[in-house]
Amino acid sequence: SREVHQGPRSSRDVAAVAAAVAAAGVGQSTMSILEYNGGAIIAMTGKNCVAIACDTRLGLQQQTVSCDFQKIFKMNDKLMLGVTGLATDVLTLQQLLKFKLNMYKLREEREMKPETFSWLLTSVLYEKRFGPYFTEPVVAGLNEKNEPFLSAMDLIGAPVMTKDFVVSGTCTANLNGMCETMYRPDMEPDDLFETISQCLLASVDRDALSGWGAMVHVITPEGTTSRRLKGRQD
Amino acid sequence: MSSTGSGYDLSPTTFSPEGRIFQVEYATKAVENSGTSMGIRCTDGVVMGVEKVLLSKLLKKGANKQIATISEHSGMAFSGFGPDSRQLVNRAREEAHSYDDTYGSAIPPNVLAERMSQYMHYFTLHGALRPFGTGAIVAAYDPERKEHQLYMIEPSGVNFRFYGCALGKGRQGAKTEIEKLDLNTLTCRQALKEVARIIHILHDEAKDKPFELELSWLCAESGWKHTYVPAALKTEVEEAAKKEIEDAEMEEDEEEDEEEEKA
Repeated sequence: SREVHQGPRSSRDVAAVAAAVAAAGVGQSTMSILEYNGGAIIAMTGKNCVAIACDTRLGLQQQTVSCDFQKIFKMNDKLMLGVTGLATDVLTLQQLLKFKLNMYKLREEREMKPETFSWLLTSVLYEKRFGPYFTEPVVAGLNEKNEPFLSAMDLIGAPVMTKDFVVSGTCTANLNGMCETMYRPDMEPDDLFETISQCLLASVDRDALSGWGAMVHVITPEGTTSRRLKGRQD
Repeated sequence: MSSTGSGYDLSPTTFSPEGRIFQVEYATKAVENSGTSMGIRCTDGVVMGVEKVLLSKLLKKGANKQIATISEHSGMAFSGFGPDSRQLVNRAREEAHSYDDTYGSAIPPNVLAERMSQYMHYFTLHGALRPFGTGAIVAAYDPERKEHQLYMIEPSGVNFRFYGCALGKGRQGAKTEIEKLDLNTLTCRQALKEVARIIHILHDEAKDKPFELELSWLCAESGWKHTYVPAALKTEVEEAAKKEIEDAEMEEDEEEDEEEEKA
């Protein structure tokens, strides 16, 4: 059990004290491993385009360590992968998937479709069913006909493929609420950018573990536009 | 013609001084001495046929098939050792299934052929294993690119993509006959008849054991699924092929008679 220490230290277990001090003061009494580093991702579809946005905070529970930690990775020109959860697994999973995608491209001499990538990700996660990657990834891309594709999954690979939006991270309640309110189908890229940005910023502002900057990528058949958002730095 | 192995042929892990692996060559001989199998890639699909040699009159007709379906969109015909072939078929089915499990889509023909090649090649590298005594002809359809393809895989593990290919006793004759066809305009139904005709022609009634013809196809009519040719169509095709052979023979006889008369 975790002790919450406030005020002068008593002669207690050093490890517990150290851990609490590392959290710079008030820690959480019970912690989910998926909430250790914090983060938030939204992906949304528009008219022949998809947008995917993330916050850029990296924390160690309450302590913010970086405000430039990217959680969205480009897999190919029309496919992006966003990963929330434990930061070490975010990086590992992204590297592993990139490797598998490159091998696929070498062997099959073609680009991987978003649906195929999503399915592969599901298999990779379920392989580790009893010792999983603590991540909840989001896949966003355009298929060969430039139709938008979205999927999200839990840490053991249960997928959800929707037409409108998917969210992931430590403030999914906020994110879902904002998206449900502000989403409209068939938005143009600029409109989509505005909407997804507002949804993300408003949601992370009410979450202690997310925020500290944001990044938005809008994928269209012509190319991808990436923009940083100026948000509250707290 | 072939040099004696004399010590270099005991294991697939040994090269001969000329750079040959005799065990693999002997495996190829096993294929060459068995019944003919062939495949033709037509404009609208792929057709495969096997001259299934019948070792006994008591064998049930239509059983002990030598063409197997690997996955929905792919199938394989083989020449050589039956048991080795069945192992290869099982492996191919596992590969196809595992691909679908991992990537959520049908295995592309070139990937299937590569995996089978790699598997067969593995057995040519280890001292404790012997190479496969089978050659495989693989017909497959790629639902994404909407392309039908034909591959042949040899005991050495090499694989090539073909318009037309053949294995077994009658492969030289079969290849010659296939080259005579115009593969740019040939349809599956025409090709079925050709395959039947070629196998019947190359079969020597006097010398060879009796055989049963096996035919399969992969085309729009079969829904791009690899299936055995329906019984009615197969009978029709065989009859037509036999008739064509008889007519050709009668013409030859007539020509010979005419020449004799003139002489």
